[in-house]
Amino acid sequence: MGSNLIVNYGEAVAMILFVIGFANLLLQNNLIKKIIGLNIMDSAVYLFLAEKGYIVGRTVPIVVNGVQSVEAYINPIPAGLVLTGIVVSVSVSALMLSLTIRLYRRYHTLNLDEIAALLQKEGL
Amino acid sequence: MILDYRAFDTFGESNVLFVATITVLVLLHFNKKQSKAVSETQEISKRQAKEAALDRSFEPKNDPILQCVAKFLVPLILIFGIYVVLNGHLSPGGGFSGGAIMGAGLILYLNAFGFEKTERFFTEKTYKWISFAALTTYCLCKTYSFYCGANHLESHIPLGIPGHILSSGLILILNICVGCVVTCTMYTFYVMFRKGDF
Repeated sequence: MGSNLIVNYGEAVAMILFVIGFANLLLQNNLIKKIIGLNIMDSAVYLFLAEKGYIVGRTVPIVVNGVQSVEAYINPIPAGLVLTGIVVSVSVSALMLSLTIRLYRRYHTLNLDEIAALLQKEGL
Repeated sequence: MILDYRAFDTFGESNVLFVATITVLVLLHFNKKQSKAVSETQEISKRQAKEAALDRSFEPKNDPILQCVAKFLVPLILIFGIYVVLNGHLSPGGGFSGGAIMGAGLILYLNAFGFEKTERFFTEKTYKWISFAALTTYCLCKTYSFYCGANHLESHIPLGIPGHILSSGLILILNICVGCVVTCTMYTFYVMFRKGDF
């Protein structure tokens, strides 16, 4: 088990990053820190996909000097999936940040507990 | 790859970006109008104005070093972005990466020279029209076969020689569309978060 961990160190790092991001997302009280945690989780997933998509000894799937055998190239689909994920995560981050800005302008705090207390005071 | 047999996926991504930008526009614009209409207590508005002034004081204003560097860098960054977009089917790169590079160039220009200069050529209207045109072109390029009843995997455009710039049928056009959408989105996000308004 230990030797596999050393060979697949990219995946191990991705898992650790994912857990760090998830803990941030759940345990932090500050909204901005929650968003940062979600972004760390995103990055861990991209790292995992990119690490899984690469095969040692093969090159990028770009045709130079004629087409070689299928064995010479890696599959570009994991990279495409990572691209999709990056675009969606940019959109989601922008959306969450703008919602956070609106919350801050309404309540003048980013702490979730304080916001909840203010909401209770308003009777919501 | 992402623009050939996964083209609808990429179309969805572009639409996600577009929808996110529109939502950000709605959220931040609406707030401004509302806060103007609803008369808040004077203390809060005074504090807000103070905070805004504090924010503004950290922004570069006609910084000579930044302007001099931007004068050299912005054209280079924009040209490199265009190169990445146009060579997307031949080399690493494509619409998303090139669009992000061009957006970064525009943001650098905005930081160096201020909003008055950029508002001459990029306003909300520009964003609306460029995004609309790019998305419509993309949609028409990929879905015309639905209406003509043909198999859309075949291309009527001559394929050309692999390695030349006009060698990949529709992919060049699609790359340009995606690049336009991404550039506008990056720039609009920045402007909205910086100023909350165009």
